[in-house]
Amino acid sequence: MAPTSGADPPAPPTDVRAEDSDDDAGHSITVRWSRSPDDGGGARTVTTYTVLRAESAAGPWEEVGEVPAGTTDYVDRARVEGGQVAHEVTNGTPYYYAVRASGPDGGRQAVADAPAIASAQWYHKGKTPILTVLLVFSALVLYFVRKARKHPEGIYVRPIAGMDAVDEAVGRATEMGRPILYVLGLGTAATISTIASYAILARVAKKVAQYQSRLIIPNYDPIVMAVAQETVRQAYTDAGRPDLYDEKDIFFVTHAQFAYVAAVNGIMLREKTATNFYLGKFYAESLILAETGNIAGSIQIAGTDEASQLPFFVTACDYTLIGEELYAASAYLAREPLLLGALKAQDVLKGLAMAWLLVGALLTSFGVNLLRRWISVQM
Amino acid sequence: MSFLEKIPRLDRRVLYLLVAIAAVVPMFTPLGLPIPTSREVEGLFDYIEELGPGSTVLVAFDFDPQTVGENGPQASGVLRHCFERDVNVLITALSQNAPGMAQEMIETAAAEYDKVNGVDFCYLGYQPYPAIVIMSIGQNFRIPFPQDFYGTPLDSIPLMRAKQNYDDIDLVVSVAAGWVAESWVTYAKERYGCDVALAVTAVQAAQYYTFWNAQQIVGLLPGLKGAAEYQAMMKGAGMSYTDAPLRGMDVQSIEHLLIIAFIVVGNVGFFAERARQRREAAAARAERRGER
Amino acid sequence: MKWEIPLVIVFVTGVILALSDFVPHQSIQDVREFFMSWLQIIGVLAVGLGLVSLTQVNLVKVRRKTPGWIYSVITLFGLVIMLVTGFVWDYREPSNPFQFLFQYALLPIYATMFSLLAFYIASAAFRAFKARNALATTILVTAVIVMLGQVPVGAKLAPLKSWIMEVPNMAGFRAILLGIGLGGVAMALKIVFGIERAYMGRD
Repeated sequence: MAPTSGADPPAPPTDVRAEDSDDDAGHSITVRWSRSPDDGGGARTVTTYTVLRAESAAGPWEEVGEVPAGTTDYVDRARVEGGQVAHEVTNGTPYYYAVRASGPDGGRQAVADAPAIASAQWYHKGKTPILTVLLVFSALVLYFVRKARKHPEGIYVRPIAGMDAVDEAVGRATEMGRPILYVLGLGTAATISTIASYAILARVAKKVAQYQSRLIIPNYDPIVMAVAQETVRQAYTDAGRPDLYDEKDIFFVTHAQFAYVAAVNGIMLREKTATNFYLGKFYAESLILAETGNIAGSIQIAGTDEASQLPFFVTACDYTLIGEELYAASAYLAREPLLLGALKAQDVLKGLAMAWLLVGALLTSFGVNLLRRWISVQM
Repeated sequence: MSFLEKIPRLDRRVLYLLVAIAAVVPMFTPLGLPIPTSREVEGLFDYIEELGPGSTVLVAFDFDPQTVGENGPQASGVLRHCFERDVNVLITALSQNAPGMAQEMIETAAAEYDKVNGVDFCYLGYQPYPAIVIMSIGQNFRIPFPQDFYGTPLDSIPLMRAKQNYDDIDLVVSVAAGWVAESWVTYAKERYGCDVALAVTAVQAAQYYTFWNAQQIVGLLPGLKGAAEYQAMMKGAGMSYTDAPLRGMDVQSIEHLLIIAFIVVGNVGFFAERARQRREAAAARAERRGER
Repeated sequence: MKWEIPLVIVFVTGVILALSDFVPHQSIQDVREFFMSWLQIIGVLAVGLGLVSLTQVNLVKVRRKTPGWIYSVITLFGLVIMLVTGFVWDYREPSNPFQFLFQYALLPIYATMFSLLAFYIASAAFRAFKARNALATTILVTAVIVMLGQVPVGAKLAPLKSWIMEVPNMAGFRAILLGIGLGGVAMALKIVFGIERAYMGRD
């Protein structure tokens, strides 16, 4: 514990400890200490803490970082500068750490008792709550899928008005001799609402093929387009009318939001579409699309999980699927045990979440943080 | 059919014309209405005020030119505030049509405050797939951005040399018109622990109040109103400011009053028509009774 | 086989990416990195796919002179001119023909489309906000308070507006968002387990 310079430097920090940082890929060591008695009190002033490192207890010491007074920890991790490794924390190497409290008159340092070794972890402990919920949910899905296989009639799904209207909407377009417009929104092929929309598209396309009507799908994303083509082609084949499938009706327009809207509005007004579906991810264009369709007098069925756009669809469309109704639509339409089981599991988990929220909120109000602590996630 | 009963069949174009007039007139005759500030805007303003010179804020241009009316004044307000307080700024433009627009706004603001590229600020530019970029920054800026917008390798840029990931910046401000705002909260804040503030369009704001109330973000600028409040605060703190968003609030005030008037008129027409339908139904019933 | 191979790919990548969230070890992070890069590469390649579709569909329209074919001509012209100027001039320079088109054609057009919202909100409000029954009247009154509280004219209503936004509005949003969150996890699991296959064109 040697003073580094001058007369009367502040007291060193106490209780210096170094250990491998939690939940990471290694190359990082966390150094913790208790503040010097002169930090915030005492006779002398501490301005900074300097963290030093050595590969043996005897030194030589190398400065690795500096933090302002009041701080009680520092994470020493590998750094890359100028394309080169500027500072390395090698996994598996023991490092000794010291912390120096410095003021205007120099500083004094304290050394950690034991060296620390950086290592990579195979499991992120802080995320246990997420993993638990995920496993519980997976178990519920598997359980209800099995149950639904045995007794498919035992699972009730409440009516979704927008989906019940699909057949009628397609039928009306056929009677009027006008095409049907299906808009998958601005999501990518990995967006959940877009994936949910494909399930409804398959159903719509099958009906369209049966009625020998025409389906137009302008796309915002090329991959979404390719998948939509495949979905519709398969639906037409399933309906026994592969000959009616025309790839040119499922095309790419542009990846620019409002240019896309302009194009779709143009299609609505020129082709006089009788029925418009807007199912997927939508942003500011929701009202511009739906209001144009409303002016043109089309039947409109919308659905999105973009909550802020729901009011616009509700105002301007005949039917709107709200949030997860869109996700549930495929189970509702297909009535397949697998999908129904998953839907049921989702309901059960939702019930559990609601109970947890209620009880948790009540307990927290009375100062019991048990439930809240259980689900808190450390990143 | 009386005048009132005709209201529901009013030509939409009349409404559109009125909306246009209400938008244009206040531009020429400013009302200069006062702008009260709200906690969510103060949150971001105060956060940047408390950051000392030499701190670093990442300003993300997550909007395309179409929403520049709302997002533009937000982005430029935050940018100027940082420059005014000598806070270093990193800028990303993860929206497809943002890079050119961002470049112009950055270069104008930098020239105004004599800020040097690479020393006081660094424009990282565009990379596709925003969510992936936001996640990758958590490991290292160099994964998504080996070079800045101008093609200079990050390691040759003085400001970036010691910047590895979110640990080396103090705040992310996402100026957004869409879901990218959410990705910053999900990954930068929740996964990597970096403070985040959002500046979003008015429509989106309703949704993002949940983040504000859950203290997942340090501030929220809702639409033009947020930008106007921010300018009002900069004005109050004696910084240079621009008038445009304040004037925009005049326009918004008039438009909101106009739409409320539409709703009232629409309802008058609705009740007039319903009264007529009831009268006619009553008359038809009376007629049927008479026949019997 | 046509169906099994994609399902196996989905299962394997899904499980690995989900695992990478719980395993900080570098080995699995490298695998994650690899998949992420592929996602970007495929995304860029898909642009070509879109380009082909756009050109084909519009060329056919022009050739067959279908109604509105003139718009197809404009589309193709726009595509070519932006591509050519973008290739010839550096998009990072502040002033050149590409920047000129971007700043003075594209930007104003986009802003115009967005501003259509103001008009459409007016006509939608006029049509839809009717005091039909008690619930509809509640929506109407709330909308008016929020609209007034949002602007300086109605500053007196601002506290009430804030309360509406932060309490009842938020409760509704949270309920929808929680549902969407759980629904999203359910959907992801259904996809990884191969229960949901509609996106492959299959029930």
